[in-house]
Amino acid sequence: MAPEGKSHRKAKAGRKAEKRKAADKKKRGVTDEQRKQNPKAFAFQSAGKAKAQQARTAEREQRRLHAPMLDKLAEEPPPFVVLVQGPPGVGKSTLIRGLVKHYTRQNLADVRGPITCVAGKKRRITLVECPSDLCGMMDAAKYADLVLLLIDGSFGFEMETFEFLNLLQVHGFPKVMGVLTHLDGFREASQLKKTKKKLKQRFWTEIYDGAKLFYLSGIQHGKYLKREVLNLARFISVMKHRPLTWRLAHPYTLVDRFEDVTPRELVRANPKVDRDVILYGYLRGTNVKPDQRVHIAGVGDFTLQELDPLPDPCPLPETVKRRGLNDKERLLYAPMADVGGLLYDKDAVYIDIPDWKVQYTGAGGQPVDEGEAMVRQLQATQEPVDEALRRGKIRIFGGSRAIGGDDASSDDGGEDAPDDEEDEGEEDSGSELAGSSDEEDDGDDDEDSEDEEDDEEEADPRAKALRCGMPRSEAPVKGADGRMRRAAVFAEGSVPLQGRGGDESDSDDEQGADDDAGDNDMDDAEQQQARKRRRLEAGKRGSGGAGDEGDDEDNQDEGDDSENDSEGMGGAAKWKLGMAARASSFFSTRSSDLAAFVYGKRAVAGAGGDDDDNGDSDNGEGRGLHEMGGGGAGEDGSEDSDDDFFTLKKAGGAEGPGVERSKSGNLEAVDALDTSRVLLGPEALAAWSGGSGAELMSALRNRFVTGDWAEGQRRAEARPEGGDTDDEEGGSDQEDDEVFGDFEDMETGERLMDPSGGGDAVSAAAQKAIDDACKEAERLKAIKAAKKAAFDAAYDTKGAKDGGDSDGEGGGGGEGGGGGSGDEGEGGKKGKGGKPGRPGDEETYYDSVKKELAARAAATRSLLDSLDPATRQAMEGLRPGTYVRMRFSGVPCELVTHHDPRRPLLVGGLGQGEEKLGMMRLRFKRHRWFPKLLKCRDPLIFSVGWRRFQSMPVYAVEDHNRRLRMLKYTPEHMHCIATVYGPLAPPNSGVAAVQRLDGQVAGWRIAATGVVTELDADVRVVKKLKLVGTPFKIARHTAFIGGMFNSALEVARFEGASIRTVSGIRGTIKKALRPGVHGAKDGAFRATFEDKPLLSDIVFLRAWIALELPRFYNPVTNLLAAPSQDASRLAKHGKRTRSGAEQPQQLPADVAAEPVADAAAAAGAGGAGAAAGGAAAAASKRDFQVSATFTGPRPGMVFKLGLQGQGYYKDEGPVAAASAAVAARAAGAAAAAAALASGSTPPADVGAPGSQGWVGLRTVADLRRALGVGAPREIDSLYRDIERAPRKFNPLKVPKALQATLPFKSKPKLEPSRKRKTLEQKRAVVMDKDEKKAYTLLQQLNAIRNEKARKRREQSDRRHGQYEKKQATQEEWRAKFNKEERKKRYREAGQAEKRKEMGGARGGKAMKGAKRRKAAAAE
Amino acid sequence: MLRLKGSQHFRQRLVCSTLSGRPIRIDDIRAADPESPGLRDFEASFLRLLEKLTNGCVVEINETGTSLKYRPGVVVCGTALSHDCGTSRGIGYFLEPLVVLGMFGKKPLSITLRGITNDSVDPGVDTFRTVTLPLMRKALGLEDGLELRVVSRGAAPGGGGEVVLRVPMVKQLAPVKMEDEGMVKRIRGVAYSMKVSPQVTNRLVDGARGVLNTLLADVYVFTDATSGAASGKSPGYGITLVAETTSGCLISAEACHVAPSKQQVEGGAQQGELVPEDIGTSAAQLLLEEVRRGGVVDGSHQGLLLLLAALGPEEANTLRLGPLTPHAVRTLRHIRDFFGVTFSLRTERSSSTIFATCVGANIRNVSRRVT
Repeated sequence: MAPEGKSHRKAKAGRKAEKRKAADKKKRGVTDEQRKQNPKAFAFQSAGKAKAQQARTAEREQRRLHAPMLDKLAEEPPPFVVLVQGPPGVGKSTLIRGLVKHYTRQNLADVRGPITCVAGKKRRITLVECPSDLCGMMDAAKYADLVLLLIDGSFGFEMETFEFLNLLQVHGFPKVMGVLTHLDGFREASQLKKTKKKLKQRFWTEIYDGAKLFYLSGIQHGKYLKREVLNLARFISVMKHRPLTWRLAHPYTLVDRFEDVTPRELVRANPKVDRDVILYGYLRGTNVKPDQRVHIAGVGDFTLQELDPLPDPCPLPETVKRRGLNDKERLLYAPMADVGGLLYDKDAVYIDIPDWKVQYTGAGGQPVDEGEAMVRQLQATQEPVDEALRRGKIRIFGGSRAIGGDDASSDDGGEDAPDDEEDEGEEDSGSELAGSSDEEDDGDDDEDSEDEEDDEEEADPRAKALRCGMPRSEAPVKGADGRMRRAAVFAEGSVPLQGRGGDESDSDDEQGADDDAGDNDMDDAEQQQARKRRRLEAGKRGSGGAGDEGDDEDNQDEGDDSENDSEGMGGAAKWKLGMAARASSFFSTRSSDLAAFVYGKRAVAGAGGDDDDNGDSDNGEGRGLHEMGGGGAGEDGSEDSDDDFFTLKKAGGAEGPGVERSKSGNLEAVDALDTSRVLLGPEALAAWSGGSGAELMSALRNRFVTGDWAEGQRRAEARPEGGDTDDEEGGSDQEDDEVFGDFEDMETGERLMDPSGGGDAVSAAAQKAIDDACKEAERLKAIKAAKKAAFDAAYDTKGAKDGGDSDGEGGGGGEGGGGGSGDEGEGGKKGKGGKPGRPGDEETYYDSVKKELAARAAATRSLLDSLDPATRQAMEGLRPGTYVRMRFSGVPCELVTHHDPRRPLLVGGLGQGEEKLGMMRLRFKRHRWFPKLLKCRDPLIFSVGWRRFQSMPVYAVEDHNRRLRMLKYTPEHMHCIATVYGPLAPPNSGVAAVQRLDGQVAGWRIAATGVVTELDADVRVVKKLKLVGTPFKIARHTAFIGGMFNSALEVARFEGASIRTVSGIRGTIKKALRPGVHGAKDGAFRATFEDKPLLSDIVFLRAWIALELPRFYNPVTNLLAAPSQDASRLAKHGKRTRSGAEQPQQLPADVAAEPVADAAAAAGAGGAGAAAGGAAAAASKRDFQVSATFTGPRPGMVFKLGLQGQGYYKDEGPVAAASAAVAARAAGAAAAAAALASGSTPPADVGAPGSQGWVGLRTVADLRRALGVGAPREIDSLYRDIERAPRKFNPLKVPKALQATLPFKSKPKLEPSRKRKTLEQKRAVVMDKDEKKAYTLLQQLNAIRNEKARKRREQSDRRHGQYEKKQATQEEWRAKFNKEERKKRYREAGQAEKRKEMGGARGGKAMKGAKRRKAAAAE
Repeated sequence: MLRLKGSQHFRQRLVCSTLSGRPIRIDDIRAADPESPGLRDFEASFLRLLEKLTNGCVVEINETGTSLKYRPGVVVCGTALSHDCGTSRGIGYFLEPLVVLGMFGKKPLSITLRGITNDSVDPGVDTFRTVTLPLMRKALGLEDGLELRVVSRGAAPGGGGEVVLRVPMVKQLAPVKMEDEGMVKRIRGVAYSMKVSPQVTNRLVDGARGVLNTLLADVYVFTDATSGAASGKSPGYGITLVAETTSGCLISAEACHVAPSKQQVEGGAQQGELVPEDIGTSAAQLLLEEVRRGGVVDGSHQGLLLLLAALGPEEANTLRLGPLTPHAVRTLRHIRDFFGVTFSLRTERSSSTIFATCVGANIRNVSRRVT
């Protein structure tokens, strides 16, 4: 029988409830008109109810509120990052492929790297597949905006899902949606339903009730159903952005394109040379400024060498006219995946041209005519022209030596060129570029490998589908399998498609077979697009541009791409698009003398004008100060003389202070006086006295309230001329305008007027088109607004459901506008304010704060918009949403060699002080699912901010007096404080910690979570220290105590410290004793107590000793490690991290060596006593060897005290390797320990099998396991049975003299025991007859009495028992009765209540009846 | 590591370094000075003060003292601190960086500073109390906790003054928006004297009023003639004038008696021998000069206000300033170097004032403890 569940409750919200309510209303004949006409009738009828309702509403309202946060919405926000996460084999790639197909109608062969596509008229999304390693998951949690959690329905939840959710929670929970896959394996619908329900419930408990869980019912032809993908896409499209504090305050970029631009020659000379790389991606979060310090997750900290905005590679449609998107607007940008046959690699762009799509002149047929034959011959040339030339010889004179091309060219040229080629060839084949000679082989290989891969990929879902009935135990194996597979692809360095395309020679490209032909069903439009891109990119490569040219070319690319789209503009107009703006920005610096003066050339060098600033450096002081004195004063000459106040005329004055002053005045003087005061000499003030003074004063009249207020008003309202007109000051501006103001289009002969408002004007036609479009848009907008207003008015008068609907309107407006401007926000707010439950108009504090924030944001926005682009960029940097190109130099070469597009790169901007190293204080809690306690000083890997690093935390609890007391282990179910050394993260940052990164752990991997509470340079964590001493001489309240300290100096430090005896007598340390006095040893002291201690007492001094916190910090540079197990690369990595980019890696020898040293010491100590018993025990039992002491490490064994006693037990740790392997590793580890102990670098090649390549510090347990030793134990610390000898008291002896003087009362009255018996004892009693009789009688009487009493007692007990029994039954019956009674009473009361509710008048009667009945019942 | 040169703007460099968390290195500190190259005693004193306030900062100075490496620590502050400022520079030299640093500390700051309260080089404590602190309150919206109490005054050579500064800690600064300079509605001031005849203060007031009363009737200058314990170790006198405008802006000027140095005494009375009336007059003229230049603050507060604007949130901070002083220009450069904040400087022609606008660096108080 199934357990009884909850009874059905009718829905209180949703469609059904609404229907029911409507029906109810209809039944009762209540209409809204009635309600409006007679509102009192529909008001609350009970005050209590009203109050409750009000309280509830208020509470809901409050719960809705969040701390107001300013969400800086960009005009064009960056694409929404949709992360697809799930355990391996759950269908992530398939889902991404499905979504891409849905959005762009394009097929994606291989999902690699971020994929950006246009998802709607106003929305772009970036799809990312989450890597399944822990590092990748940590990073992904930091950049995802929406997470699609893929769950295998046939299997259930896997650990990865929950681990990832935990990481998300720590790093500020973005939006999450669950997607259930593999549902086609269920045979029975009921089973499916049950499973769905179960999974949903679990999902809800983990996230929140009602979290969206999407079901993908199954797979057809290797794809999800089209309709379901469409539905999922709809859910994605309505997801809102959630502002997260950390991301609002830090810029970040998810890298979607990666280029290595190190000069080839340098790489050839030294393959390990630090590289220059260029990373591309959309800017997110907040503004980024040039010279920003950033952290590349998994790599290290770098400075942005260059930061350039690029035209958007995946722009939103320009005009929103139609309902949906047309095919041209469905853009897809995925440089790392091979979209449309185009693949961007780190050092090349590859073009895949399928053979069947292109009409080449094939080798097959006979040439038709001579021309074609000639062309073919040219194509078939064996060697290029230059080579042929070089080979050729020329003889200038008849008898002279023939001169070859090699001789003619210079030495190095002749030799280096082939060298270069060879080297490059080698290098390339190493780094995934095939040399020309073994092109075909490579191509074949790649084909094969890719075919296999494809097979695998395709077979995968089918296999999955079959797998649904599979037992649980096999799943992890499969999961691990998936990971291994992916890693294997890149270990070979054979990325599909990369071997196929030769670098620039197109002739070889044709050879490349097209393996994708079968599944690549692009339609014609796509082909065209692809071809176009190919052309462009080929051109780009051909030009052989260094990285710098990327900008322009992308520009062109952009222009050409959108060429077809623009209808209104002339064909030639596009390239001129930004001309005017560019030109104007170029010249804008002419006028900004002040800025140029203040910031020097650097500030304006970017804009180009540098020749007119020469004056600054020449006469820095005079001109600069003058200019600065009055930027606009140049034109009015009368002011001019007065503005010379800062040009200190008294430069080089005679006396001391004067010199200082002139120093302070000179801007270029590096040793200027450091004062903020304006130091003017008396002669500077001379103008104010005398006649000129009166003049000045009268000029100043209007600055005082006694003057003209209108003038003051004018002055207050005066603002500098608008920033959009660039030329704002300087007397010669008019002329400049004449010269530079307009631009002539040389091609068409048109003269361009720079319009003041727009800034991006083009030819007149284009301008007109734009204007027309604008006008049209305006007109439409106006019509729309009018219509809306009319509708609103009509709606309001009807007034059906004012609150709810206007709410929706307002909210929608705010959302759709996205501008975040003040009025829209207000609209949204008002909508909410108009709810029926809340009195409409009063503004709460919350509202006012929000309003103020919005107003401030709007003011900032408007101000920045009014500036010209160059100034704006200088002021606020690049805005989020821009596509940027970032150049980094000095990047370790491993990043390039181990680059894998499936491990996305995250570039996060660092805030103020986030590079500093210091102590972080965390509020920390071990995760309740983590199987073990965490040990103090055991290394943990932390994920804080953008960073991941390994550090050694020290755990503590805070006492009441704020003392931090060290804990050896984290508490079981409590928060503790962890102090961690590492790069600082601002307080309130979330922290997740893991113990190991490899995926070999079956259980939960997140060791602990927490939050940063405080930063400090050092934290004082203490532990208790008890010093023990013993008294050796005791006076009345004074005792001499020894054994606590070793010298008088130590005692001196502790004078005045409080001490305590075991028996609880308190005292203080007074002074050290001189050694030898009263037999005192060095370190003995005099102490006083509140009472007399005993000689047998032990004296304690309780002290707190500050710990030295380990200053160890090791960044997790997992992206610098090979993704697979490759010993040589690992070893290289170990070397490289040190010499590479600046990565503060501090490993004090003592800290790192400590655990090892412990173990080594233990080994040394025990080594001598190699007991024979050990060997004997080994023979008797394999996994236990008895041993009294530790006698050195034994492979596969751990020394500990267990059930069988002290000895060696078989090691059953997580890494249960074969004994041989253990032995080998133990040897390696011993070497490592030795190396560590000697302070050398940690060897990187001792990684545990299955690790991701990066190797960190190991935990003490790992080290002990590797060494085969247990915890070191001191023999003194072991517990022994307590043997207590019976205490013997000495007899009290009172001296005779004393006894004599004592009063009798106090005299000891101990008499010695008699040797002979006393007379009474000796004497026998003989009774006579009567006596005897009487005695016997008495005895007998007593016996009788006793017997009687016994009987009486028994009887009374029996009676008592009976009575109790009776009472119990009675009680039982009474309880039953009372219960019945109560039930009845309540039922009646309930009925009465109901009756009273139902009808007012009839109620009285019924109640009376009830009362009567109750009375009867009571009787 | 930011590399800088010279002894100029020493305090601000250290403050900016501490707030931005970037270590700096200053080279060529008075390297050209053949007599006494390197750091002076007041700079060393400031470094010591910084060490008192912060935790974990590292200062390395080379043998000659011409180069300095500074790695900032965590600002702690706290109460019951005290510092002897020496007699080479006034207390104003130490107060200016303290108010900025104090706001970003772990605990509120309360510190006693001893030294020269008023001299001719550094802003006097009266200016600080009556102009700087109200300016900060106004610009940042700080309600309370910002306070300067003058316990005793101390004039130039001997010093002996004592002030108590209290600065609250903040989470983050508020955006600064000060564009309206307003019209001068009243002028207040303090005329002080130490160890001289109390009559001197009245004479100072007379001198100032003589100039100012032609423009405004509402001029009131308080007199503070100290003697005994509250008057420090040397005689001296001076005057501080503050013009308050209708929009609440404060513009100040000060002048004080400069004690003639030994050579001057030997060479005969020259410039230092100004009578109190002249000092009052020159202070008044300085004030008029500051008013004429315009801006919401006087020249000596430009740097501070610019710094506060640059430290503010990532919003538009707008200021209206008079012609930039060299100090302000250097401040602008430092702000750019340390925080990457560039100001847009636009000149309003008719009033010849500068509108300085920036988007703040969003500096938060990271040393604060959260619960």
